[in-house]
Amino acid sequence: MSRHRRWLVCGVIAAVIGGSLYDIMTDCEHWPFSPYPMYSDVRREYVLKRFWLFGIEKETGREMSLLDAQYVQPFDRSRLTHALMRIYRGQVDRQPLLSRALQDCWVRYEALRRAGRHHGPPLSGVQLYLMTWQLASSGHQAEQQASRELLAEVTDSTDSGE
Amino acid sequence: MRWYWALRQRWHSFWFEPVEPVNLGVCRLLFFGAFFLLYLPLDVTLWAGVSDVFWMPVWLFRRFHLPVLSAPMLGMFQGFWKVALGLSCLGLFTRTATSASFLFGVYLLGLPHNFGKTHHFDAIVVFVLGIMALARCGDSWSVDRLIAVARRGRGSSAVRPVPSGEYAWPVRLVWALMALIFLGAGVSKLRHSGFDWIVSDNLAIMLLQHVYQPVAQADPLVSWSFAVARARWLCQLLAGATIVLEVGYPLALISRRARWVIVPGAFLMQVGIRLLMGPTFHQFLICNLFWVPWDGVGRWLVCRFRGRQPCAVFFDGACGLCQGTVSVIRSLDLMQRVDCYDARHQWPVIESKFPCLNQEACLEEMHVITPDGKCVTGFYAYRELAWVLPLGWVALPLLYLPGVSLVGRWVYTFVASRRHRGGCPLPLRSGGTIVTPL
Repeated sequence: MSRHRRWLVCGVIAAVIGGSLYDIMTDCEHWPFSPYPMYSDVRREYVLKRFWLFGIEKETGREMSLLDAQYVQPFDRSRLTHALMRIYRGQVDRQPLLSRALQDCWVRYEALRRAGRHHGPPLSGVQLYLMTWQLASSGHQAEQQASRELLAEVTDSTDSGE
Repeated sequence: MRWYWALRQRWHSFWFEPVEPVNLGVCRLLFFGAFFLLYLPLDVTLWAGVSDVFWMPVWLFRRFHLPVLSAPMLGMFQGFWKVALGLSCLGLFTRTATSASFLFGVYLLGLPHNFGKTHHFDAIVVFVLGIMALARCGDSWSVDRLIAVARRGRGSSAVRPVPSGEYAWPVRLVWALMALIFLGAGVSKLRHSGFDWIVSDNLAIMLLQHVYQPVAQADPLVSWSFAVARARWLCQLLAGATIVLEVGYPLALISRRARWVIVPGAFLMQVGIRLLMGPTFHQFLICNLFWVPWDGVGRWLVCRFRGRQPCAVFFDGACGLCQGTVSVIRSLDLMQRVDCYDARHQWPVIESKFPCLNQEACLEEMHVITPDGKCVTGFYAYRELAWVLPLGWVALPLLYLPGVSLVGRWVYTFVASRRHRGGCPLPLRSGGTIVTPL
């Protein structure tokens, strides 16, 4: 191994280790470096709060959950709910942004449906709720839906999804 | 200054210990093979159509102003990337393929993280692609190596890569990466939550949340979370074990004993997360292959199968084409189950051991005598060799398909009849040492 090659490799090693340690020490994210903060916050309450996307079926008017990968691709449900949460929490004037986001989800849902990439029904609107469940601390399977709060919606009357 | 020299010595002995290239070559083959299969169905073209309201770029894309390419461009990039992954697995045009895998991979794997959430399971892939692009991972267990061996025939010992630190640092850097990732995860938990992460009902609540309304990118595979959550002591024990494994992972770098506990422990932890909570860590699980001493595994397999009777191959030692072929066979003979005999220069030995053979016939066609005493020639000789050469196992089903033997015999006859036309197509190479396995 030549001297120059060894120095190059040492430089790469130092950069990789140094970058990783920097993000760990500063708790900052510089993708692909990261402090890997997944699940690092402690949960104290037996409550589950989630942003949830629903579609309103055009023919029946029923609500259906859209958080299925086939409906929201290329998003997965985790990424989409997190993105919507960031839009909701990060902006002062969030309502127009949320409407645009829901509109985008609806347009893509319909495009995927027409392309045959899923078999969901046509929709007449999309709604975003903040859902809250009270979990059974005993660990048994029964659950209670405590409440839900409508955060944003787009419908045929407010905007067209086609 | 003594401590400086001692530290320097430790640094060099850890990163640049001279080792054989086998381990790195096998890691390359398995790593790129696994990710080729994992990412084959990947389609990132839909990201081109996502509204910019979702555009929340990560540091790399923000820093270098990397845009979202159009759908056709993304389609082309991902096609090139998948081809590069496949070529990297095979070890064909290795340097180019691994470099392309890294460059395309950084963009394609990073792109989805710019739309609201960073999933943390594939950053390690980006790093390992970069390491392999820089490493000499094509020096062993690669098509490039086979081509080099075939071209040199019975060549000199310079053909064989010598043990070098070039083959140690890539594997050790992947180890260090994994150690830092787990360390970061453990430190984050302690920083944000302290020991409450262990002693509170945190893990029990987390399990229930994931099983009631799965919101990770995949659903839990089992419903045991309810039972586990009911046992508070078990949740606290698992939480404590998680912190210990994560924070203690760097010990695996310096202690072989710790490695035997920590690496499998972290592997099982991620399997458990997948089963009980849903998040997939396939990429991390695959990267654990770098911890396996594949050269040691190979030595064990050779010892295990060494006792079996070998195949005997008889070839024309005056023919360059035959020499190249035999060199490749020797390279692929990982189980050391093939003995090669030169029918032109070793005939007295052959005649005494195998009186049934005829020298003229052996010079005309390659002969193989199988362990059970059967003598086959030409295409059928290659087919018998496929049973004892591990790479041949892949081709075995194909070689027994109807019609293949007919085509194979024709091809063999065509090549064999032309190998001496106007002189042998490849020059005879004299001297040199026996080519060693891959």
